[in-house]
Amino acid sequence: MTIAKALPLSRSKRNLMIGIIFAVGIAIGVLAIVAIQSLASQGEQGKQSTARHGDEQSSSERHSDYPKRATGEVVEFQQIFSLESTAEQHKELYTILDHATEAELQKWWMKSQQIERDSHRKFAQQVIIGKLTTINPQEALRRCLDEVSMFQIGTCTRTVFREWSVLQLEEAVEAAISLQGPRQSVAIEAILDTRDDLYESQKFSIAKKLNAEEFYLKLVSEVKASEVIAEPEESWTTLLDDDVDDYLQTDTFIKVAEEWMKQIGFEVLSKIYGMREFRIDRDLVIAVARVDLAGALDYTENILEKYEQETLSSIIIREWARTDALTAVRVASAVEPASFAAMLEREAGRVWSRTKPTELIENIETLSFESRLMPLESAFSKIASQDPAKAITMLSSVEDFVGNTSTILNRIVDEWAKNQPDAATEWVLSNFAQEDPQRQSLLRGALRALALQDPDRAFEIAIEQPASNNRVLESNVIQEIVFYGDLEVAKKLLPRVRESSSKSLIYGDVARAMVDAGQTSEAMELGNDLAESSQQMYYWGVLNWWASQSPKNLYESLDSLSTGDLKSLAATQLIRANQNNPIFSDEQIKQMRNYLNTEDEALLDRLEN
Amino acid sequence: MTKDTKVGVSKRSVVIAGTFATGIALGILAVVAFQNIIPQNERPPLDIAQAESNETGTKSDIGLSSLNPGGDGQIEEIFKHKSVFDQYRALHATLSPATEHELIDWWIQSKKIERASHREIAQQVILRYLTAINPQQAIQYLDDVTVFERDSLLMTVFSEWGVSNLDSAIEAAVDLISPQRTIALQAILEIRDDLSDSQRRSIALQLDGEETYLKLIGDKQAAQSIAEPEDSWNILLNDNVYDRQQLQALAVVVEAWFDQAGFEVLSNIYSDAEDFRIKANMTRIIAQIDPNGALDYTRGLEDAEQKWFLSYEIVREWARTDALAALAAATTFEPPSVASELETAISYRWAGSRPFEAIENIEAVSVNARVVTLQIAFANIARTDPSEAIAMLSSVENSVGNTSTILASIVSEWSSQQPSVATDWVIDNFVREDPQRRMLLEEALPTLALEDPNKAFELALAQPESEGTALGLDFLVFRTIARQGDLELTKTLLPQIRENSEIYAYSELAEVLVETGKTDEAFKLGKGLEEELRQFFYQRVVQDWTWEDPKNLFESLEELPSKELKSKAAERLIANNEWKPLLTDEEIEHAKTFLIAEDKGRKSPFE
Repeated sequence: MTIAKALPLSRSKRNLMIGIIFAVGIAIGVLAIVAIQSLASQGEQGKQSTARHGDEQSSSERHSDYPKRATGEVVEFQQIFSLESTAEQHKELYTILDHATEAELQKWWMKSQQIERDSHRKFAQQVIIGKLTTINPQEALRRCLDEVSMFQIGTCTRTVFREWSVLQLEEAVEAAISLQGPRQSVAIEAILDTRDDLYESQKFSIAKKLNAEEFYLKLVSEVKASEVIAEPEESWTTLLDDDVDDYLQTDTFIKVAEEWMKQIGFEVLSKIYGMREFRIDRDLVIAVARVDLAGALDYTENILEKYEQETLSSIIIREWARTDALTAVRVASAVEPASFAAMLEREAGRVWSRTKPTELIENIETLSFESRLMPLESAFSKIASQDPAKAITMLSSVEDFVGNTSTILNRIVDEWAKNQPDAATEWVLSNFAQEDPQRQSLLRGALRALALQDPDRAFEIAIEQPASNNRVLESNVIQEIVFYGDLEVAKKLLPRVRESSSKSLIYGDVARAMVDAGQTSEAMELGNDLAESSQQMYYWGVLNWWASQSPKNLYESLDSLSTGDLKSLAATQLIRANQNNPIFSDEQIKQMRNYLNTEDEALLDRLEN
Repeated sequence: MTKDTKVGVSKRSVVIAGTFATGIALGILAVVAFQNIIPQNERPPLDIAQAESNETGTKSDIGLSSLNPGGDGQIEEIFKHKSVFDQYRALHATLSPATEHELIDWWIQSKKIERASHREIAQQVILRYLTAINPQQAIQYLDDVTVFERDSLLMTVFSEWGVSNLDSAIEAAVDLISPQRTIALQAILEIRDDLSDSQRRSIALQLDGEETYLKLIGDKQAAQSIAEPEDSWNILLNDNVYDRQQLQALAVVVEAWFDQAGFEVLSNIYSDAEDFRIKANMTRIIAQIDPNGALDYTRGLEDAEQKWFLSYEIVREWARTDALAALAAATTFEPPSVASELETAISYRWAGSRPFEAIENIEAVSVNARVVTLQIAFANIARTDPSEAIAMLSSVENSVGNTSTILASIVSEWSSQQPSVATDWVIDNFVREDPQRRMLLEEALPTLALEDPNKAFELALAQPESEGTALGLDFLVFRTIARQGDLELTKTLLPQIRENSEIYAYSELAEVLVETGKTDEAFKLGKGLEEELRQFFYQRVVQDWTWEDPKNLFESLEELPSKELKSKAAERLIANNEWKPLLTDEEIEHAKTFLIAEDKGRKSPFE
């Protein structure tokens, strides 16, 4: 057939063909653009979907798609942390690690240790450890305990146990049992916090296994408290009435107090006071008052109950003085009445003297006259602990601001003597004449310290000093040795103590120490060394102590006491002690009464009625 | 082919090619228009195949969030992942492309998540993304959460904000109240560890939180030195940060130090830390790790004070978890007096933390310590259920001499909660003549006086008068009322005080009047008294005044009502000044001019 014979298409057929060609063109256009975009997005997004449908490449093949440079590993982290927001950084890291194998995670872990920036490294390691836990929790825990900084162990451990407890609870609990101390506490907390889907009985059982029932009760209580936090008073009561030591719930109490404050203002301070929980009231008061120290202090001015007012205002002003003593003192001095102001000034001054003693001394005139002495004593004492010579030199700078500086000097020497008892003692002996009354009071402190270092020398120096107002320094030396030193040394030196108003008291101190050491017969015999006029008081003291410390032992020793009067005195002490601490039966009390002489029986009757 | 045919063929080809090209172009344009003109939530171009292979197959991952963002079903889907890691991953994958509007919806839905641990995870991530888009709005959402959840979310907000826009983060933090501002500052300083120290310090100063900055620096330095824990310890103790704010860091250091040096670290803790709370807390850290080993270490210490302090803290910590073991260990401690005190400390702690257990095992407690231990235990129980406590008393009757003081502690606790009820119980269950009734009312009436002073006083007066040296119930109630500051009521009750209590009541009143600066009133009140009582009262006023405000007393010497009283006041001032020298030498000389003959000879005990 010739071309001449190719006839043209009919109109309808032509239109149909054009339509088909047009449609094909559109389809191809659509497919082309989708294909181009898809290829582009694969390149940008890297791994998007998981392999759980088992569809395509192995993880290493996918990982190989991630951009790398010749230098290698750190680059990935750099890229991640170069993203603008932490949200994107987090997302990126989770995505990248999603299908990492254990071997890859170990490589990532090693890379992470090279990250210099703390915040980046901590976050990277937290995510890596979290992922590692899903594969090999034991290894994850090992890395936490052995390969992170001590300061990160807590966070790391928490991450492990959060993950582990949802994947394999029993194993996690067993692993927690193997930990000790604070690390175990972190693990327990992570498990119980994360597994809030368990029944209470299950959680309690876990806690019991970990010997952490108290922690469980704390958690339960805090959950209850948070559920009713819209009524903070109810939360407060929940925490107070639970079976958990309030001390362990300080942070929770603080949060409730902050919330309560929104409702009742600083009246919450009185609620804290009403807790009568003295170990934590300070922390709670500070947490509340810190919002507005001046406002908090104003509130306390209107409290009627004196002890409450003093307690709360003291805490507030001390906290204020800790950070800004000058302002605290200024504010304190302006409150009414004057007695209240003086108390606050003293509290502020006390803190000031400990935090910035030199500043206090230089600004002592900002405190009112009555409030200066104690802070100055404290400030000079603090300086003397580092540099006694400096403290002594500075003393003259405050002479015009107090009545006299004798008590300040006493504190300086006392403090000096703690570190250098020899030097302090020598200084006193060299600088104060024997007739000077201040020498006595200064030696009292110095020799106490020397007594623990060199009791014999301290004693010799003491007995060389004249008695003053019927008091002798060796009494203080003996007392110090008895309380903090060697009882046998005290017993050896005791007979040389001179007659004084305090001799029988010192004998009493030694006797009490002997009773504590089980030397009860000796303690009773020691009374023979005293003048008869002092013996009654002596035996009264010894038997009183014996009855309070070892009543059963004294009861069993009644017959062995040497005289009827002593037996009667002992029985009296036992019966009186039993009134406050009833350990003896009525029968035993009746037996003791058989030892009473007429006088002691009458005394007891009077006291009992 | 003819020319015409050739023309016809080429025309057709052009038409075909043109049509085809037009089709392609239109197809391309249609796709682009669809993606750009109709909103597509800023998502990157979809890979449908990829989306289909998505592991969760959830609608949230493939962008149906635009249809139902944060819907319950989607949140549930996310938390169907068992693993916490996967929950985070899924959340990030879902929320990363979300708009602000969608994130708000997610936030709203997150508030309905009942399970706290899930809610926490969800809200952390949602808020982080919200902050990245609109931090000012994100921070408003913190009002939706409880105070228990707020702090960690606040950290999240400022952690993100501090990176995306530091200046506005600081500005926003300035407006927060103090505790929250501190948290915000902490978050900023931690996340912006790329800034120099001076920059971070400057931020801290802007936010009035220099101590937070110093703490951060201290912690960092301590962490850097942790290979030598003793160095870290010294860094933390000697920095300019209040040690009590560094308890956590100190605890970590102590633990590291213990790993290196063993129990010897206890002695370091004792001698280096000035603050007793630091000493105590750090000692407890070691005790948590190995209480038996720690206690054994203290047995060998020579310094008695150190031995006592450390052993005391160790056993108290031990008692929290295993009181019986702690008791067994303490009984072998030397010397016996210390052993006894340790046992007491354990028992009391035991009674406070596990009262039922302590009661059941009371035979393990030494006889001397049993009664007080039981008092504490029963008081603890009485705090929530006084009836139960009373019912349980009989179970310990054979373990102690008698249970009277234990009952008193129950009533004491009970009356602090329900003073009226507790008082009525005592009245109903003990006859007037029963000494135990009096003992119990001594506990209940002062507390009742805080609630209903008149009733308390009436009940006190209704009891038989006390004999011997015991303080009257009327005095105990009176004292409580006076201390509460109700001076008008106090003055009304004073004439009703019984004779045995009179002196004590006037002494108490004198003290209160002086403490509140009402010395004039004190003297006025005294005028109406009988001579002997008046003298006693005035002397008490002067005595208290000397202690309370010697300067003021000195200035008021001339105004005192009699020369005897002036002399007494002067004598007290002179004596007091020996140990509290608030008066100058000249003032002391002036005070001496008021002394009468009988007071002149009296020497101060301090001369």
